[in-house]
Amino acid sequence: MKKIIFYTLVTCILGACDLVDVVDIKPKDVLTEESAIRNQETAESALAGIYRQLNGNTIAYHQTVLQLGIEAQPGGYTGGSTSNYYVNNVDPQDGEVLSIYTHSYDVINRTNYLIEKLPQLDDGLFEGNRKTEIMAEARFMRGLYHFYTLRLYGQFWDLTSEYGIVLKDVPARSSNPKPRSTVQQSYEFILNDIDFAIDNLPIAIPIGADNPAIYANRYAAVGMKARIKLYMGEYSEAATLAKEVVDDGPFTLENTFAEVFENGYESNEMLLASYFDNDEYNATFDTWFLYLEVSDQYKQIANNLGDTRVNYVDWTHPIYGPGNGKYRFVDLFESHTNIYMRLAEVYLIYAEALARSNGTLTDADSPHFSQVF
Amino acid sequence: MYNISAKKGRRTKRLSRHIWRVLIRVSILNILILAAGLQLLMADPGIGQKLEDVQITMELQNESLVSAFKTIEQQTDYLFAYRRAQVNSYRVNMERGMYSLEEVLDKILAGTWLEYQVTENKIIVKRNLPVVPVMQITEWVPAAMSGAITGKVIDGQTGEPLPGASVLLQGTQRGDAANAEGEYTIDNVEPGRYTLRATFVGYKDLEKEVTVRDAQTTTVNFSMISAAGELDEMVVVGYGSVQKRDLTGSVSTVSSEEIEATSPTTFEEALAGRVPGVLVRQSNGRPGEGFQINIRGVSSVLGYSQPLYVIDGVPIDTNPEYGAGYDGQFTSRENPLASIDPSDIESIEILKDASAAAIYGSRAASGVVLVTTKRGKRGQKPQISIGYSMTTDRILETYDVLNSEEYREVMTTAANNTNITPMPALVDSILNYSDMFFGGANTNWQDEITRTATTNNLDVSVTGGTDNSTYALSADILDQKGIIMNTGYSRYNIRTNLESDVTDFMTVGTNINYTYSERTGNTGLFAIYNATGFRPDLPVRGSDGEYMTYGGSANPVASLTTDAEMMANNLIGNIFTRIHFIDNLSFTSKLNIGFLNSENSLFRPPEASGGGEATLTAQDGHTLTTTFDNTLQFNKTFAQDHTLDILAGASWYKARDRNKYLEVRGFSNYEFINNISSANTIEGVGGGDTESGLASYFGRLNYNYRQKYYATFTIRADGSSKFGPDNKWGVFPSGALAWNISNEPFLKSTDWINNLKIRASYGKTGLANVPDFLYDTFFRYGSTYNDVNGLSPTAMPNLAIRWQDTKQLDVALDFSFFDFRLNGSVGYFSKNIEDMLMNRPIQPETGFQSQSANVGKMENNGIELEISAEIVRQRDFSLSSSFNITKIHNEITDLEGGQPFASGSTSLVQEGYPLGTIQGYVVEEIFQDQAEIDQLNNASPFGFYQAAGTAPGDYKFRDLNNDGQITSEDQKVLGSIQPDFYGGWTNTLQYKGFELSTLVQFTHGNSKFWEAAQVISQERNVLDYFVDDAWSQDNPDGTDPRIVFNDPNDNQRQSNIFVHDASYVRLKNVRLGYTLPSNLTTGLQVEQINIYASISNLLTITDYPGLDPETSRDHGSRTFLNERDSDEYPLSRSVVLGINIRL
Repeated sequence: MKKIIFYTLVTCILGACDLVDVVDIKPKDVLTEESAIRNQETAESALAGIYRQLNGNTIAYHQTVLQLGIEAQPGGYTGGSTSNYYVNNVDPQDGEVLSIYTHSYDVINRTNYLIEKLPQLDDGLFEGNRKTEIMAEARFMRGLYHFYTLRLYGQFWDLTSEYGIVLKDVPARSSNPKPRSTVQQSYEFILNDIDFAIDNLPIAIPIGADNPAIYANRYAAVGMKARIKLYMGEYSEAATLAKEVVDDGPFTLENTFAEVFENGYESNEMLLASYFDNDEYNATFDTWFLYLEVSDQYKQIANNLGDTRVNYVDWTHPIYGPGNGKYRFVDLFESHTNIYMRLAEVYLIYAEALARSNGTLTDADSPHFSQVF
Repeated sequence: MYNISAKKGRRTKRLSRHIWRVLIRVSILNILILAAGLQLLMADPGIGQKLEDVQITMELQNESLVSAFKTIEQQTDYLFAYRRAQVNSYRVNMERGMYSLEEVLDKILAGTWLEYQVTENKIIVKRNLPVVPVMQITEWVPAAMSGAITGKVIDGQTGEPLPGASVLLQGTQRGDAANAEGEYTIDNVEPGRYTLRATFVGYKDLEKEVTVRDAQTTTVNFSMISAAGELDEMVVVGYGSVQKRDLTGSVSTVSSEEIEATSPTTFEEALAGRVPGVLVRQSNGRPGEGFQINIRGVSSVLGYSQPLYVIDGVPIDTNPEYGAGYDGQFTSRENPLASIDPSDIESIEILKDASAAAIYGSRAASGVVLVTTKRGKRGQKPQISIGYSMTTDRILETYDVLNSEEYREVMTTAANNTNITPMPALVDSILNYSDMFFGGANTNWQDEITRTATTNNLDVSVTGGTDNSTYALSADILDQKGIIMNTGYSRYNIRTNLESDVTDFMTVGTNINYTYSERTGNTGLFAIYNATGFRPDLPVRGSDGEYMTYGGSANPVASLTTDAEMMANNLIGNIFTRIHFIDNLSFTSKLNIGFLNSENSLFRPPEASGGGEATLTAQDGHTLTTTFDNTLQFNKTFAQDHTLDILAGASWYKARDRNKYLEVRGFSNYEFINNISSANTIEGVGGGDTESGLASYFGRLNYNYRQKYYATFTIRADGSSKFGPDNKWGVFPSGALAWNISNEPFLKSTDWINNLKIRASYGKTGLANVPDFLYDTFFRYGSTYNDVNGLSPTAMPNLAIRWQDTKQLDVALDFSFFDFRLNGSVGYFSKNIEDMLMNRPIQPETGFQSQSANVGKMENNGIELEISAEIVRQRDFSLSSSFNITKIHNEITDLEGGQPFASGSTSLVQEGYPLGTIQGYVVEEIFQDQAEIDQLNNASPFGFYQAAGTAPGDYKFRDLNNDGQITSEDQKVLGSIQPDFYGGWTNTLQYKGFELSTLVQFTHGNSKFWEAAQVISQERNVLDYFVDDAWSQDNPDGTDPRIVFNDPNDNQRQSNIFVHDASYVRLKNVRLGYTLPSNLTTGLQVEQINIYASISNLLTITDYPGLDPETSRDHGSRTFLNERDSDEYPLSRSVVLGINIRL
């Protein structure tokens, strides 16, 4: 009997029972590089993972904080660090500066996984032209986020500067550092992606609620290229591209400033705006961050210029108090779109490009254009 | 030669038929083996001499009976016959000397289940079982016979008689008190096997087995040991136990008496202030949770500094770290330690140094807490204990905040002082619509949300044993109400501990603990903070009967109307078998299971949700751990001097964690129904599943030479599934040496030294509480866009991620003097932590700011002192006092570029400073005039000195780097969360049946950021503290800043105004107990009745201005964040009344 007990235990210890198989456990609930992207459906998922970041709480929020700067009342809900922007005294160690930078490269990294993996997949796994379109969408997003990064962290205004940005075209598998490229190289890289997008993106006809511009589309790419050219100082090209969007695109301006925000991503003005849905999981925090009270200084500037749009922006929620009226919300769970490009901006690009290229302003002085102001 | 038929008859009753059959076979086998052996033994027939005439020299030190028998055989012509399995479990001691053989045999067999019989030159040692009448053999037990027991009770150390000591025949009401010579007699005892129990105040109870034979007087002498001399006590260590005198490592024990003395609801509470080197803090007073324990300092920056808990062999991670596949949404597993009923605990052992803890290898970096629950004893008659207590809790203190009238006054002043164009809405409302703005109520919100709470606790237990089995069963019901409205904790607990010898060589047993608990009131944590800030001029309910809200936030009372329930079903248990294969060698196999289930649901009605809609969050979490432990144990004394105790083992641990959660909102009829299916919208769903495993091989060697020189070596190799292929295995060795000087011949004769031991140990332990699978790239779903569930990479992998190492040195001196009346220990420890698991910044172009990595070094070193004295030791009067203090220094010696957060660093974690160093600005003075401010502003490169809105009455912060402006560079160290020293002091006074005990706990040198302190900014109410001496033109000497809205100077910034020293001395517990005289209880057929009353937190001496210096935000993880005191669930003063009855 001793033997029986002994051998039973020894057998068990030597691995015959599952209890002792503990070191080589396979991860659960995650995918490996091999299993993540393997057909159209998973490629669409990877693409959704990229677009998701349009709604991420980082770039849209921080852009807002940065751009508004003087717009946000210090001491409001966004707390102390926004005051740094307000007084133009941003600490080099500021976490948001790093966070915005990293966020862009997070999106870029997501695009690079997809861009690297797609060509390895058999064409037969994709419907029609979808494989190329997915590639074009991914490259649009890669170009877009490189451009944002250049705008914020490079000397974008000086094509001869060596202070461009770090260009990433492969997934980050190690943290080996890569040097900055020049501004010229950065623009070339970005335009290469955007041009591929222009050539291959569907000429979707996004009109308002029926087919909102929540994905990369040809006009968004053309509009974005117009903006890039404007920053590059290539004004006539910028004007040409902007005009193409105005003339050929299906976009129309809203009747009032308020409607742009009321209609959100379903507005007819949108070239690219993020999809949002209050029921969509994890997409519930954007408005939190846009809970910015409009600063007294900003209101004063607007009032001095007689710009009545400030009356829409300066808004008080019946329960939660002062906020930025462009991002109205009913309750704290409500989300809002982030606008990446709308028709009004294309008009502005057009006008600015003409103005800077010594063209005449009359071209821009259409009824629509004056409506922008 | 063996009377097996008698044995057979006696045993039948307790053994099932099946086992009996097995037994016969085994017994026959044994007898055959034995018979063969005896053939050899009987080769030389000897001379018939009387045992008392045979003189032999004996010295036995913790030796087996077998080796004692061999010693006798060497010196006499007697030969022994015995069955190894029956004698194996006993170890015997005898002082060196000449004895008669009879004395030796009596002594070494005393207290065993063995008796001997002499035939010619053979001494047959055999098991003697208690007489239990069995139907078949009744005729063998003649009735109406009687014998007597007599003997002497003496002090084991001095040999002096102990008059008044009582000797009781267990299971009867019979007994005797020792006379002046220490002698006692119990007559007319029916023949049979009994347990005699001797008790005397100041001495440890002593039990002996006795066999009473017809017409014979059996002598049983008691040599009692002072209660203070606890060296013979067994101390539980990892995978075994040792006698306290043989300890080489640093192990502290908290006994069941000490646990009972504080009447705790969870056992962690009982450790507070009692053990040197162990800092126990109650981070909040919420029922069912809230203790943080640091053994010899914090052991990791990321704060997984809670010890490993091992409950009857079941390891419990209190703060598991989940992997990438696990959804971060699940955060609230119920505290599994709360599922143990403290009254079930026999002892808690705390393994502090590397030598003691290294047997737990990679899990022992923060020390190990072993919890052993109560078991029955062999041959113990059933003992039923019933305990009941009722506790009344009241909040210790509340804040003085502005009342309605003061509030109106202060708000109006603030509005007048706020000169902003255009006029902010708040100022406009106060100045121009004051009648509409201010309410007419005067509500003390703190009173509204707190209450006097009562707790009831009932526990019942039965323990006992037969000759070959033991049992302990208990049940406990706890119903605790919290001092914050709607909070409470109830627990239903049952426990079974069984052990039984199924054959001569095999014992099986089980320990099972099942608990169902229910905690209510999730929102209690910030209740006080919310209550101090809510406007006092608003009523709880408006005139329409609805809860009053303001600015979108629920009022503090409405916030507590959430319907929050957290249920836990925890099963912690094991089954084991212990086999004695051959002499001195035993094998134990144990399968431990921890099944921890938490189920939470949090319903917030619209008035408490903050979002205008009712919400419900439901979460389920399941943790299943299996631990399969196998150990081989060998012990033997060689050549009488060398004692060896070897342990080898293998253990496999696996943990699987699963969770799911669901958030819904919008209930149209929530007053009546708020289940998931009555919600309008699903807000979120999620879930996770992760698994990790640990394979371990370990060994320990204990050696001692004549109990003078000791050596212990321990090694453990751990393989973890968490790490990459090249880093799976970690090896954790340790060694300890000890010298018991008091056992040296030159000190043996020094009467006043009872024990003097120097010990030192060094070793390595590890830490692996990191998320699973950090070493590879993985993708997960969850980045949803327009209803497509998107993929994203989880993290930047680190192939090289590996164990965190802790190297620990320990040197200590243990002593006991003056007949064990003065005991203590003083020691030095140093803990060096390397390769800490932290985040390391990486190239942000990877898309990640950081990755998990092994970076940083930290050290803890300190001195521990523990001293206890029995000041008075008399029969009816004793007074003892015990004091411990630990001086500790913690420092992050090198961060190596590591940072605590994925997103960056914090001033709380800085190289060269203790973990949790609090930095801030220094307030120099209050500005008196504008000219000074203008001058400073003009001199500053930014156009202002510290803030654009600075005005007279604001704090002037000190420009520490003299650059003419206040920036983040002008912060300095204001304190640290780490105490310089801490400890406790207990006193016990016993007079007749009364016992009074006190427990004082103290810490010194730690600071906290006092979060409740807020200067005026908006309409939030503030403490009197910040406005009662506010600066104004009329009060230029005011010490508080001016009253103004929006805090234009940012007076609220972290400065010395808000960071305070939180040192304290606290009378943590006072308890008065009374044991009813035995003549009274005997009449009631009760063995003992004890009634008691105790009060906790009776007195606190501190300079800390907040409600409580002890509480903090520390929840066990990321200890450094514990710098903030936001008055999370304040502590209470508990008054406990209770009774314990033993039948």
